[in-house]
Order: sequence, then C-alpha cells, then structure tokens
Amino acid sequence: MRPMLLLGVAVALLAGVAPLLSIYGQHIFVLVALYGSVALAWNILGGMAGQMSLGHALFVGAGAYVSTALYLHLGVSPWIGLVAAAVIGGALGAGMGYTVFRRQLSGVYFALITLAVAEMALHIVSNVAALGGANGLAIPSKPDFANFQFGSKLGFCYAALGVLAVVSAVILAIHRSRLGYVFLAIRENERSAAALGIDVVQGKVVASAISGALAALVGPVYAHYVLFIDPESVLGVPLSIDALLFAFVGGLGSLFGPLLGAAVLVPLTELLRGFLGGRLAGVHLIVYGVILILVMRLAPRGLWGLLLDSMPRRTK
Amino acid sequence: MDLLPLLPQALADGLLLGGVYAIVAVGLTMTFGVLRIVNFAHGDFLALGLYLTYLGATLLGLDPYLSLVLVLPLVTLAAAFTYKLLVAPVIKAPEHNQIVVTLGLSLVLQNTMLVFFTADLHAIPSVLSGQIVRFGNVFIQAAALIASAVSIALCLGLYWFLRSTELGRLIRAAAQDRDAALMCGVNVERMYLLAFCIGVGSLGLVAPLIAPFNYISPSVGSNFTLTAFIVVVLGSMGNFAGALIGGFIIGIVEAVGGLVTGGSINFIITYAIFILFLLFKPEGLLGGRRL
Repeated sequence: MRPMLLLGVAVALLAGVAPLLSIYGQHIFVLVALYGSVALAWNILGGMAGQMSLGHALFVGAGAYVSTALYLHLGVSPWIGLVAAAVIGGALGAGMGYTVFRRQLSGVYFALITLAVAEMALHIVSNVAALGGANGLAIPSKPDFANFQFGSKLGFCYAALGVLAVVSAVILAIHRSRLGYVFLAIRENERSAAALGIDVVQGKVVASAISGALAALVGPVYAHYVLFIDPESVLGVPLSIDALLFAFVGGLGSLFGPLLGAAVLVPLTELLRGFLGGRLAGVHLIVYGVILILVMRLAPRGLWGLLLDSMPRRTK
Repeated sequence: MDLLPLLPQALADGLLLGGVYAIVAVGLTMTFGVLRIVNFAHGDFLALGLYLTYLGATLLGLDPYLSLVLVLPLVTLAAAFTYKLLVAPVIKAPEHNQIVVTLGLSLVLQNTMLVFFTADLHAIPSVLSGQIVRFGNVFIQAAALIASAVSIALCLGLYWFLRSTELGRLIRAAAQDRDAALMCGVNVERMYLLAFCIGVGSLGLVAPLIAPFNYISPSVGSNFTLTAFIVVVLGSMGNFAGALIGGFIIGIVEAVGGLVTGGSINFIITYAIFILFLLFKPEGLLGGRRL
C-alpha cells in the first residue's frame, strides 16, 4: 500500500498548493492535470501494453459530448455524466480493441485504425444537429456545485486533480497486479506471452478499455471548465497527438513520465503563447515537433529516463 | 433533384482526382515498401511543393508549370536531407520511434508553413487556369487533365523503372532482404536514400501540376497523407498497381459521394471503407508486399 499512501500525500500536497497560485497559475494547474490525465491514460495502452493509439481524442471527445448532451438535453447532472463518460469511453475502448486485436492487427495498423475512427467520429458529430454540428455546443454558465461549475478556478483545480488522482490510482493498482505483468509481457514479446498461457487479445482489450474509460473522464471536466466544446477541439487529431507527445516526451512506459511530459510542455506552450500573443499561431507545435524528434534521437526513454539516470544509483 | 445526369461529370472528376491520389500513394508505398517506414509527413512534402510553387509565382512571377524546374529539385533535396538527418538514424529502431519521428517532422513542416504563410487559402493562377475541355456533357479543367495524366504516367514509369532497370532491381533487392542484398554487394544505404528521394521527390513533380486548380493551405498536406494511407491500404502496402487502383476508387468515391451526400458526410464514407478494409482485408485488394 505504500505507493498509494505516497499518491495520497502527493495529491494532498498539490491540493494545498493550488489555492496559493495566481489565477493564471491555477489555469495552468487545471490544464496540466487534464492533459496529464489524458497522457497517463494513453500510456496504459500505448506504453504499458505497447499498442500505440493515434486516436485518443475519440475517448475524450466521447466523454465530453456524452456528459454535455445529457446535461443540455435531459438535464442530467454532469456528476452522473462523468460516470456515463467513463462507461462510454470504456465501452468504446473495449469495442475498438476487440474488433482490432482479435484480427491480430497491431503496430501501424492499429495506429491507423484509431486515427481513422477518431476522424470518422469527428465528421459524424459535425453532421449531427443534436450535438451542435460543426459549431459545437455551448454550456450556459450557471455556477453551482450540482452543475459541475464551481464559479472559481480553484474549484476546477480540485476537479482536475480529482481526475488525475483517479487515473494515477488506477495505474498504481495495475502496476503491481497480475494485469500489470500481463501488459508488460504483451509489450515485450507477444509470442512468449501467449506461450506462457496469457490471453494476449484479452489483455490488450482490457488495456484499451481502461485507457478509454480514464481518458473519457477528462472530457466532462474540460467541457465544463471551458463551457464550450466543438468537434475540432475535443475530437481532433491535435488532441490525439498531444496525448502521445506528452507520453513520449515524458517517458514511454514509465508510470508517471507522461504527467511529467505534460507538466513541462503545457506551461511551455502557455509561455510561448503569452510571448507571441496572437501572432505566429503554430510556433508551439514546431517546438513540440522538434522536442519530439530530439527526445527520440537523444533520450528514447524520455524525461523520466533522464531523471532516473541523473539520480545517484542505489547500491544493492 | 435528379442526380443521374451529373453522374458522368462526377465519375470524370473522380478519375482525375484518383490519378493524383495514386501518385501520392505510390510515393508513400515506395518508402514503405523499401524502407519499411511509415512516413506520416508524406503529404506535408506535397504542401511544401505547393508553397514553393506559390513563392515561385509571387516572387519570380513564374507560371506553375515553369516553376517545376525549381520545385522538383528543391523537394527532392529536402527529401534527401530528411533521409540523412531523420530517417536513416531510426531505420532499425522500433516501429513506435519511427512513427513518432515522422509525426514530429509533420508537426514541424506543417506549422512552419503556417507561421510563414498563415492559414489563409492561396490560389496560384496559371495560363491554363480556367481552360475547359469539353467531352459531351462532361467539362474538365485542362490543368486537372494534365496533372492526372502525368501522375498516371509517372506511376507507370516508376513501375517500369523498378521492374526493368538495373537500379530498380537493386532497390527491390534491398527491399526484399536487406542482409542478403548487403552480402551481394548492394549498397543498401544508398538504395534507401534513392527510394526515399523518389517516393517523396515525386511530390515535387505533382505539386506544381495540381497548383493551378487547387487552393493551398498548410493543412492540405495532412489531408493528402490520410488519403494516401487509405489508398495504400486499399491497394495493398508496397503494391504499385494496387495504389493506382486504390487511387481511382477513392477518387471516385469522393467525387460521387460528394455529389450524392454533399458536405463532410463524404469523409465518413471514405473512412468507413478504410476501417472496413483494415479490419477485414488488411492485406488490401491485391495482397502481398511485392515491389
């Protein structure tokens, strides 16, 4: 239980720090926690189980649209929407995983399918009037705890931190369990894993379902934070790339590297934006691209790996 | 509205579009077939070619067809540098790393163009813009006809080159078995460079040809990358004839789909075809990885 205790302490510390931050600092806090959660969720499938997805926006977008549509059309509380989001995300992850992995498709084929499914979802949502079409859905501002609108950035800091804590707890629980070793075995060598009696397809489907459910949790929080969602922002390719990027830069397969990646890159993006104002729209993405390539070339284990290397080795 | 009379027009448009898709896909399938690398930045080199054409038109006043002499070598040069700096170092790396490196390159290329040229749409006029060829009830832009014809000729030419020339044989040897080719004295490293330069460089030839009848924007590249992937999977990875057939199929699906449905429902059909193929026939229409 020690890792869980450590996580509790870390979350408590972060919760204590949040009120001390400026409004801008709290905004960054929310973004880091949300992007970090997506990247961590991506990493369960992409890093721990070794199946690279290029379409995780699908889960975030599904979560955001399910909870928002339930809230706007049926008056269902976003708190219940949050649960619905996780269920839908998990079901999508399981369904996609089952159809793909059962057919022994992996590597670039899996990446392409996830990309195509997410893009298709984007175009479908763009054509459904009830979901606001390409214009998106706006959530009327009614600050109330029951509406998942907290009236302050601090409230959203706690909501985002809550999601991050849930995602982290699940990762810790998986890590030292049988499931964690199943993922590891699949990632390292599928054939050996199968020879040892591991159901490889089932393992990957479970990874996909967990990853999808956790990524979907981020959607409702994001939607109620920004009070507006449209297909491009929650279902678009850039979000899928962000998830993968933070995970790779932070350290693929390490437990919390993806969070580190988000914690470094998100503030960097915001700083660049502050510097350049509205001019030069794509600069932060150029920086992302360069960092991604450099990390691949110089430190394939990511920032987390660099951090571990720089620490003094423990002697046995 | 009765759509039937418009069908021949849509079919013709689809065939013309398909020719261009085919050569873009052939480039992608060539780099995949030989280097076993999936290049997510493929379409961005086409966008690069388009912006070079645009620069040629605005700075030097060149007609797109004239700027071909500049764009083709420049794009090929960019391909050579890309191979040396980015692709060669990861050629033996895990697939993950290769995908991530080309994704990173795509981010850099696309957004560099965004920074320099903004997201505004640009059109590049040519002497041939607005020239229409008429076949019965079907109207075709002369520039589109030329682009498609050259693209198809290029596909066939590349196929002939790989099949029937000594150099083509060497490239195929490197593609089929790297180690065996090395032992027979094939300079595999150079064959990889050559294949990458041909695959990507052919976009430098296509770009000025499609410039007169296309709007250009920084995101045009990723659209073409995705379409090329769809075409390549449809026609089997690494298969030239497959890419040609796949290009025509997707071209016609897009043109006829656009006629029947309108709007972006069109994309849904294309993606649905893609996903169904990936799931049920991932080896594509023609199968195999023959080069």
